[in-house]
Amino acid sequence: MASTKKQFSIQYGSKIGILLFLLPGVGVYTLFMLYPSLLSLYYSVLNWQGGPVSEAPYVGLGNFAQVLEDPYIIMALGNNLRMLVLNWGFQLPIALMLAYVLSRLRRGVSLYRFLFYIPVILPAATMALLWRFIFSGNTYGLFNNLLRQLGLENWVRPWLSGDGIVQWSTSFPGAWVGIGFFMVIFLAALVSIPEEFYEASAMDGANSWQQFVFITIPNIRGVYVYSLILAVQGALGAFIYPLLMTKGGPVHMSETLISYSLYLLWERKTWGYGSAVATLSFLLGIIATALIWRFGRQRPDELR
Amino acid sequence: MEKKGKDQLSTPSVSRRSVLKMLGTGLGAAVLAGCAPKVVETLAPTTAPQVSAPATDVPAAPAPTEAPKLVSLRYQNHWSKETDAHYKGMDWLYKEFQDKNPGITIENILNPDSQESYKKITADCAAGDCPDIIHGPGPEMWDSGYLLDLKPYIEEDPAWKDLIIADTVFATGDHVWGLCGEFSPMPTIWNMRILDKAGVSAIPTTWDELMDVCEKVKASGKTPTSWTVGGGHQWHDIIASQEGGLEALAQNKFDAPQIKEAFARLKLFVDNKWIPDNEMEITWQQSVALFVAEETAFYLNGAWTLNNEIRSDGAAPDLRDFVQFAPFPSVGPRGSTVELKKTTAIGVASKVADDPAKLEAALKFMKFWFSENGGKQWILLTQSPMGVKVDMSSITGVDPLLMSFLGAKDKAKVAYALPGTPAMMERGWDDSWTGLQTLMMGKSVDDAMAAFMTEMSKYK
Repeated sequence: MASTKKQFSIQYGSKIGILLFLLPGVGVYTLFMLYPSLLSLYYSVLNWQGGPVSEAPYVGLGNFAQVLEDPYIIMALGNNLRMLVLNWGFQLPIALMLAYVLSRLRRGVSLYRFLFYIPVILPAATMALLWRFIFSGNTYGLFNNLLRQLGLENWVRPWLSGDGIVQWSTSFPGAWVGIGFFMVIFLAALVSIPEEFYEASAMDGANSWQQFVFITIPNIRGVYVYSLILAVQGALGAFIYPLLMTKGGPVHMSETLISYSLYLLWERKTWGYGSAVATLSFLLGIIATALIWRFGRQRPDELR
Repeated sequence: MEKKGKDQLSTPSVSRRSVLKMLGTGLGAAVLAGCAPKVVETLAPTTAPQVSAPATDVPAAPAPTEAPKLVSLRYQNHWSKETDAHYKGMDWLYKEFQDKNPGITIENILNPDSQESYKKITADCAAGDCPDIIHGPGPEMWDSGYLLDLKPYIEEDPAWKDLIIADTVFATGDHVWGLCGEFSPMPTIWNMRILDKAGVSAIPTTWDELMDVCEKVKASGKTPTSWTVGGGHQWHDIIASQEGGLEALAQNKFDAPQIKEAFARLKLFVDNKWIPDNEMEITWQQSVALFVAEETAFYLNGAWTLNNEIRSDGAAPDLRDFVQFAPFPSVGPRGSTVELKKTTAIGVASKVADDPAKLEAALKFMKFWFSENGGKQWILLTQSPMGVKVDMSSITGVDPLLMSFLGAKDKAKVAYALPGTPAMMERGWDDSWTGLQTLMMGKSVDDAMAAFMTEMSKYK
């Protein structure tokens, strides 16, 4: 026992030291992430519409039952799903493709990596306003003006107000911005694949596509699954682009669960119901993450 | 084995591990200290110059025990911003009040705009730290117990009671929780230069005339109006012009025919493109800027628009010479209408009642502000009437533009204030926006009514 403790101490340092080093991170996480989440969970079972929370009546799952009857929740879920489709179908494949190309480049990798990463580091509010300017239906709207210049007048659309259109135009910027982020993650995974694998396959006559499918993809599977999870969380937690581009409108058509929750909290001041919607988003995220992890991770027998 | 020299033996050795331990301890302590609640962060004086002497600049109370106790009233608002139309009024208010009441200081906390101000005040009240003077509260704050019932104090001072315009107070049942900081007619503001170029010689007084004017304005290359500022008030005007319209709003009868009629009439603006193509995208600032840029012919707004827009730096210097103010054209049997908008309640925090000195100070402040002199100064300095009676003829130096603006309500057949029901106060004057947006998407009046009623379903 004594030797085990001593071994532990030698290998990891003293327990008090470990705790002290963990304290800032855990403290910040608890204070700013865990505690507010638990509070939100508590508020979601109350009919709290202002006033001291201690006087708000307990309604159990009443707020969640109201969610089932709220037509705007379906709209919001639809927009979250659109974001997920864009993230999985556009963002991740494009990011992987760019990472693959960069991993094969001999020169200019740092420059291209920086350029593709710029949207990630710019403030989201700036990007949202930029995309609002691009999609604006006003005379200065960049995209419509470009279409007119190209003679594609019949492609001009009310990108920020058309039913069936605004839902996609407010979902796209988030997916676009995330490309650089995932590209960097994939690039790190790709460069860790031993070059010998590619050399050996090339000697066996494999072309680039076969190398990509049979070497690259299996070797970055874990990272890709992790990216799928991040993309799900990004889709479920998205709110800044709909909020700043259209305020969730028109008529709540571009709302997401979180932006709708913010509307319920700050515009309608239904704190209990708004918290229930936020909790719903949280629960969906957990379920989705668990499912992806369950079916997407590599099993021990697949690891070689 | 080499013996260690005396110097080596006396030199303390510190291992890397212990250095890292000390650093970790210090960092942990710093994080814990940083998480401790701040004492006076939210009480920091603002950057609003010349408005008040912030609390920290107040000279220390004299040592003798008979010196009066200094009372500080905390007032969070966005009106004390230099660029705000109310700045001059706030400057006068703070200086004059503190000069006359040296034992009372106003601790001004500046918020960026009305929405952020409301959010911050709400959050502070929820945290048990309401400001003493509450700017722009809503009925939900009364329901939450944050506001003092001012009625007993009004009743016990008949002179003060007589000054206050009874219909302008903010009340829930028999409890008055706010006095009206802005009470203005919302006439239709016309740019006569645009009408003149469109071949229109007179402001329309009937709906048919309005349709004719809009057609001519559109033909002349301008846009008749923008809804983001004033569309809701147009909707209210159409409802008020019909018999039973205001009653329907008061009783939350959201499927009333008067309401449907309002949507049906306004649909003509969408069908004929008499509002900007991207109306749904533009903010209220962009909407009102269209009038300032003389791109739209008319809009509806309160007296504050004179300073904020018509006389603003971005407007043509002679724009004020070409604007005229009129009631909204007659739509129904009740005739032409002007909405009287009471907005920006000013209240007192209920916790003030626990401190007699503070309560006295707060009431002094309210009585000073909501006095006849306060009302006059407000009109002169902010161009914005309050909910107190003012004899306009006794004021000298009032801008004729303001007199003309205020006089528009006398030209209307119906000058009305929206019903003061809690539901009405809660949903405000943008209650029509969901329905109007539905129309702007090209949908039918029935679709607009359905969207409107879904949005209003929360009001029982």
